[in-house]
Amino acid sequence: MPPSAYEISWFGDRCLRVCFGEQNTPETRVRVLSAFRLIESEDFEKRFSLTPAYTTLLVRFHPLAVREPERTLRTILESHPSGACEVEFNLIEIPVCYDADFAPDLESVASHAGIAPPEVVRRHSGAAYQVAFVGFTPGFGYLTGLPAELAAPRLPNPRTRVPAGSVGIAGDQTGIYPSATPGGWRLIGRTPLRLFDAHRANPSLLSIGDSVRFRAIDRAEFESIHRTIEGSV
Amino acid sequence: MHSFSILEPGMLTTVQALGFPHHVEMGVPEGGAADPLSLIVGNRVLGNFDSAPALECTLTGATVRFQEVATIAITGGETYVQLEGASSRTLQPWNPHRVNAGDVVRMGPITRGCRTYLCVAGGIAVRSTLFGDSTNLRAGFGGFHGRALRAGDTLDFDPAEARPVNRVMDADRFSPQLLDRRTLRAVELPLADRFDPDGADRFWRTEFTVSNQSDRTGIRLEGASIPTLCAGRMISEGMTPGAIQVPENGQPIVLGVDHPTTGGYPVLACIASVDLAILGQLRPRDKVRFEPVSVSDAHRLLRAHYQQLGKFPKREVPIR
Repeated sequence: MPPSAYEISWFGDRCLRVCFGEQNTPETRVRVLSAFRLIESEDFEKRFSLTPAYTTLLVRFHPLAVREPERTLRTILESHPSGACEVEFNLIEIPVCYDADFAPDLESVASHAGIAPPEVVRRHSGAAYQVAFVGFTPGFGYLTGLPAELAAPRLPNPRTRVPAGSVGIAGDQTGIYPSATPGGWRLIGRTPLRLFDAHRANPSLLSIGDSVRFRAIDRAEFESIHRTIEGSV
Repeated sequence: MHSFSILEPGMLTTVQALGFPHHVEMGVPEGGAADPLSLIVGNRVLGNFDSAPALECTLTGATVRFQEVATIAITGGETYVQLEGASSRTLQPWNPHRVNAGDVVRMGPITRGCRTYLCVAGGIAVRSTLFGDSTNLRAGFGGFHGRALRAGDTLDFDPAEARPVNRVMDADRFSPQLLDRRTLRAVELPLADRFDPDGADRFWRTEFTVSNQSDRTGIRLEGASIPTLCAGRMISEGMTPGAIQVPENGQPIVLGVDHPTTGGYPVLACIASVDLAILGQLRPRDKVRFEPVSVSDAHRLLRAHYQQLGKFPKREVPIR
């Protein structure tokens, strides 16, 4: 990766903020992802903790334990000049039930898009998504790839409680609520999968860089998967 | 295993260890004690590892009964602590105390500061996760079943985990720096196109009031409104405890240990590491100001702080 492709600045006294571009573009996101993977694989002593986002990577460390953090970071980032670190993509399939009970805002998304609700389901579950990063709350994946016509504004009055597993749309983003929280996204379905479980080997179902597809399931399959997951705990 | 049970949990009492910032990329903040300095000192007084889990009480203390003999220390926010048992007495904070089986430890309201720690020799036993031993209330994991404590809960500890401490320590020397100082040092970020110099200047000159909308996720400040130049144009990015975000209403939020790991508001400055523990002791209506420091000065202050803390013998974590 050429040095000109990023800028490093202090973010307080124990974080460095690496910025890979001013615009949230696919190229910038790939740079963030490859830098994230590179540091993860080269930082053998686990001195750095990383928070990737759309255009930036926040690198946290103990300021008295890491000497010359900026230089160390540049050395790692420039150790693969082409930026071509091996990137594997997991494909995560997420079953989603788009039944009316789980989709209080399907109608409003449909009318906003000027298409019928079943067509929203078809397009939402037909698209290919990628996890730009996992952030905000444990296990919440920021997905890119929502078909443009499905974009819809946030609810004017957020709900006080959105059930875990709810699949929503806000602006040009789609995502899944990992735990029950208040929220203003338009809900169009629900997955029976657990997005986050601290006691699993892989606590977060989604990781940065993963490819994601939604598979439409009926209520019976939702209940069946749900029972299996609950029974395994 | 020895145990104690909760008779009254107070407003919000959770099991907290030291924060563990190692899997932020899963959206999990470092969490842990909101005032880690009080936890560390309480643990050192008892011969525990710095990271041993303890009770964190918020604004009001808890009342607990010990089923077995224990050694405890109470640190952090100021409160009146009464030991009720065969020989009833008042317990001095920041000191180790022996309690007998059946004794009740009753903590009153927290009158100065916001959070009081009840540390137990051996540390509270918890089921560890990849994210450490602390309670994450939002996602409901860690600590004691991932939730706030309730009357009737029983917590285990193993006194054999602690090492005897011979030295008498003047641990209460940390109290004034945590509870009296209300000017926090912070490192300013490049203003870039997010703030104008007048807005930043206003921030450094203002005495803010801590809002009662504050918790472990963040401290909301009331006072002068700080204008931002980038409303609605920010792209979400990584955050850290102590980051001072300015949302559209101009009222700054200082992120706490349970902060959202990413956020879309511009950050004006970040609290210097040396002063982060004070954030955990800010209570609603407290007045607070900020003072700019350079990165190198912040590191110098932190080094001096560790030298002071180093006078308290630390138990090194064995290498496994």
